Amino acid sequence: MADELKTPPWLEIVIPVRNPGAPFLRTIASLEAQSERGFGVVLSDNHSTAGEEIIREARERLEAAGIPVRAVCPPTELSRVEHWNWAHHAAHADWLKPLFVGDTLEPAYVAAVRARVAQAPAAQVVRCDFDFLIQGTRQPAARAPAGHASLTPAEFLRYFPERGNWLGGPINFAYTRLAWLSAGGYAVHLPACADLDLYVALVLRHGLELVEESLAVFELHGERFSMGIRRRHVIGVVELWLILRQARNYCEAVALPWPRHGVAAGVFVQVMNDYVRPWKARLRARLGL
Amino acid sequence: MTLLEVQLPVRNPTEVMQRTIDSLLAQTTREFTVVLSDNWSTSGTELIERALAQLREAGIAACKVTPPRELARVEHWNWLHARAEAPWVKPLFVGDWLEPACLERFLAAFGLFPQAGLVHVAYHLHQEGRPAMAIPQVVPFGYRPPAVMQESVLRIGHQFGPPSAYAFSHEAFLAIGGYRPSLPIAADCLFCCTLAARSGVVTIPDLLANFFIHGARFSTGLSARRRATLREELTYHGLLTYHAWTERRAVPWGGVARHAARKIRNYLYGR
Repeated sequence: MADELKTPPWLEIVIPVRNPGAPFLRTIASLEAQSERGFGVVLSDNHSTAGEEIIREARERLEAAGIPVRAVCPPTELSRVEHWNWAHHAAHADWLKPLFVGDTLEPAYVAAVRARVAQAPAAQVVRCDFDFLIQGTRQPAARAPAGHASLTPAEFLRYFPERGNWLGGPINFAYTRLAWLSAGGYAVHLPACADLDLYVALVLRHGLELVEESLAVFELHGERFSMGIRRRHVIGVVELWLILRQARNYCEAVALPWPRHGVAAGVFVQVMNDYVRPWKARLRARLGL
Repeated sequence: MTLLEVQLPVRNPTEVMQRTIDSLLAQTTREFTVVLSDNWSTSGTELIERALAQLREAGIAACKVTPPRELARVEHWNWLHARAEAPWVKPLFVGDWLEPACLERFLAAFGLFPQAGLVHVAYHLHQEGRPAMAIPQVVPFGYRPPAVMQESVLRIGHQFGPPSAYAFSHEAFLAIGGYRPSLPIAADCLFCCTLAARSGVVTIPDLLANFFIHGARFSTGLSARRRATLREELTYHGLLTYHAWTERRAVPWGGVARHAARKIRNYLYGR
């Protein structure tokens, strides 16, 4: 264990926290259970006013499990997405993996990503499948296009934006520090979809390695930003529209085959998913159909 | 550690870089460091070595860094700025130059207004075959807080000049993540406006920087990419407006609409 602590980790799991509750310890338990060590954790506390004892316990448990932890704190309290950026900058490993309070990784996650990186040394971005945990039940999230171990930027555009957001979020992505740094981090302008914005930019630049196993679980617990997002001052469709405009712009600048009417098609899919289908479902329920 | 790090992203530099280096040698202060970042140049490497030697000989702490692999233009800026060690970063591009008092004035402003995210100066625009044009600042010297700048960037958009005319807080840079490579033309506009609305701006109305549109410059080809320029301008302004709305700040919707209309009109009338 002493040797593991001395070797710089190849992967750092970046966990931004603020006033964490009990779900945080489930996240920590999933890291303790990893089948492979060699990774570290950057625990960034954005000036919590509650849950300090949980942060302390998390740190002690990780260290006891032989996982090096660096506890950091931004100089001033930051907004949510700014904190993600700051915490990422505090990481030094070649590979970074964001992990949020309540999210859990399957025991094979680190080993699977490491195996893929060893298999594809030029890889910059790795995506695995993941499941949602809603009221104790696991439900599969959108899967990547079948039959691909990896996608080049041009291949990615065959499935995006036409198929909507099948990429996922921070839960199922890992990327190199260099790719993250050079992409300019998470866009603070897009509080609901900063992750999608970054991952689209990364994939259009570097392509994507796909791990077909479901290796992460996204729990929609009460402390999450996503919980009650409809009551927040954000509009997902507007964010998606701004993301797609940027993506089209980038594709035209570097001569990638952006699909004709891709912005409109992507927004249409999102409108159907966010508004039309839920409205139809409510209508059917009301009519007893 | 000095308060200010001047960073030059460089790729295949030509002799125009000498004027940039000469302007650093002529600064009235030595309280700064210089980092030359060579993005895997295939020519002009001897000019980089010569520049380093000249700077060191003049008593200026200077070093060269290289990204782990060749990066795209805006990516290179992000990589370079992220690794700064000083609390303030001054980008300076090959071909641009600073007046001798420029860095001293920047340092004085950092001391007076440490809360600012961005400090900018007025500048001269130079184009080959044309007389230099002064781009003045209409506001007096001083700090304008985030609330004022939020409204200002939504009404006017980018007003801070090219990278050679501004310096920014490294801490603020780390929080906002950096420039957006998906907006290669307007990356600096969005970056400056975001910093201004987040942390406020210090304006130094003196003409202390020089922006030279030489042949090897990215900006040289922009006149042929007017449609892409308009699209990026509308996109970055949309990002700023949406962000202000999500943060429940006051959005001058009429000013936003007028700004967009002005950009579209300029595009349609070829201005």
